[in-house]
Amino acid sequence: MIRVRDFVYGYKDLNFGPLSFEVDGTLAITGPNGSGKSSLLKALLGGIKSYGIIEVDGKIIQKGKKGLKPEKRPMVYVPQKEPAIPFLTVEENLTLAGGIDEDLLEELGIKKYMKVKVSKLSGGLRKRVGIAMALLSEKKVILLDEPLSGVDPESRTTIIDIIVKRSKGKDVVWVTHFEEVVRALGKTLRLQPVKSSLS
Amino acid sequence: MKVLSYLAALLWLIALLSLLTVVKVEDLMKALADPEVLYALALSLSTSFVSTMLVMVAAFPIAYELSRGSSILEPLLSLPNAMPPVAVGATLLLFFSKTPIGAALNSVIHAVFSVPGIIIAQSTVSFPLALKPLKSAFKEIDEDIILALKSHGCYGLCLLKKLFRGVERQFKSASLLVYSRSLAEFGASVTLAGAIRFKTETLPIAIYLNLESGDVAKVISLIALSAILAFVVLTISVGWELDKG
Repeated sequence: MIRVRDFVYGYKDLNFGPLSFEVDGTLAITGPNGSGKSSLLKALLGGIKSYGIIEVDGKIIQKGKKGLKPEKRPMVYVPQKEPAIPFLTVEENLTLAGGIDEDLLEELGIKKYMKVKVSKLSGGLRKRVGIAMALLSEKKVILLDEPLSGVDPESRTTIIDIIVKRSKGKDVVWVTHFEEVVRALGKTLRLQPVKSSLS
Repeated sequence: MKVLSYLAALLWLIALLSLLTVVKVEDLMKALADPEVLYALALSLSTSFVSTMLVMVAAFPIAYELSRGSSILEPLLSLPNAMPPVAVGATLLLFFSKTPIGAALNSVIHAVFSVPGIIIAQSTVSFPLALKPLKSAFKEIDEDIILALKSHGCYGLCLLKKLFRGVERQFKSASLLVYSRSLAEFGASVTLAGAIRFKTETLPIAIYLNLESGDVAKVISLIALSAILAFVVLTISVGWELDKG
């Protein structure tokens, strides 16, 4: 369970928040361009400047400006542009994340690409590798930034199901603009460039 | 434009090949087998190798740090490449011989008028040449990739090891640049390590010593060796640049 209170974060000259929300299972983050969706994930991870309180499973990981370094936070991050490490092979990416799960790779359709460098894969396949990495990680919180953009529409529902099923017992914060994700996750935080509201 | 490139290359080739008219071929062959020439060749190859290793190991993490934000350290770290090499050598010589810290260090590593001095001079002068391309290569790596790696618990040495894969081509290219610069280093080496026959006599220092004593055949053989070595190193570098896969 994640508790975020009075959270303000900034990217370049923009400041977002204050936000207060809780995640108990899954949370979809939506909002127009420039509303700070991607920046929120980076701020939760400690990658950009922020101020506020973040608590994961009762343990405070940030208070005020001070917090754990990104590598020490119980969070794994899948960026939008480069969801997996492009200069490593699929196998190296998965090993880095926590190991190989044949069934998961089969489900995500990336098993046959193990020896291929991620930079040689299509955008959709890269996303699948990034998702696999997040699901293989032992970290308690998964931060996903538009993991379905570039994935063909027919596969979206399947991948949503895989993520929801495989992330049981973890908390997922999922930036998206797909309605099917919002419906599947149930709870949504809609961000606005200045204000934010929890629906 | 293409004509100009060929013309410039041709002019330089003529200048190099015209040296063969100054000396008889048998004198040149004899000079190439001379123990002094062979010593200079071996010393240049080995000291440049050690310098390149030292420079690349040090430049890699420093370039990463510099790539993550502007630093006032960068002009200072790049200074030896912009200063006259003799000034760098004189700075090192005075540091190791006239200052308490330097003198203490010199009593351990024997930098002044000895082989370690050559390595220190070569490393100091060629270090900035590794820093710039590595920093640019690191800058091309998206900040999100680094954040993702960290989120997987990969930081410190693990992070550098993974990032190495992303800058491997530029790393190899930079190491050749450092190696060729170390092979060519003269000003700082001669000032710190001195020009001592069969001791601190690298290829450039051997050229200097033999030019002074008027042994033209030996000078030309040393020039030929320097040119061949530089040509090989630079050709490999260009090959790696073209092989972007």
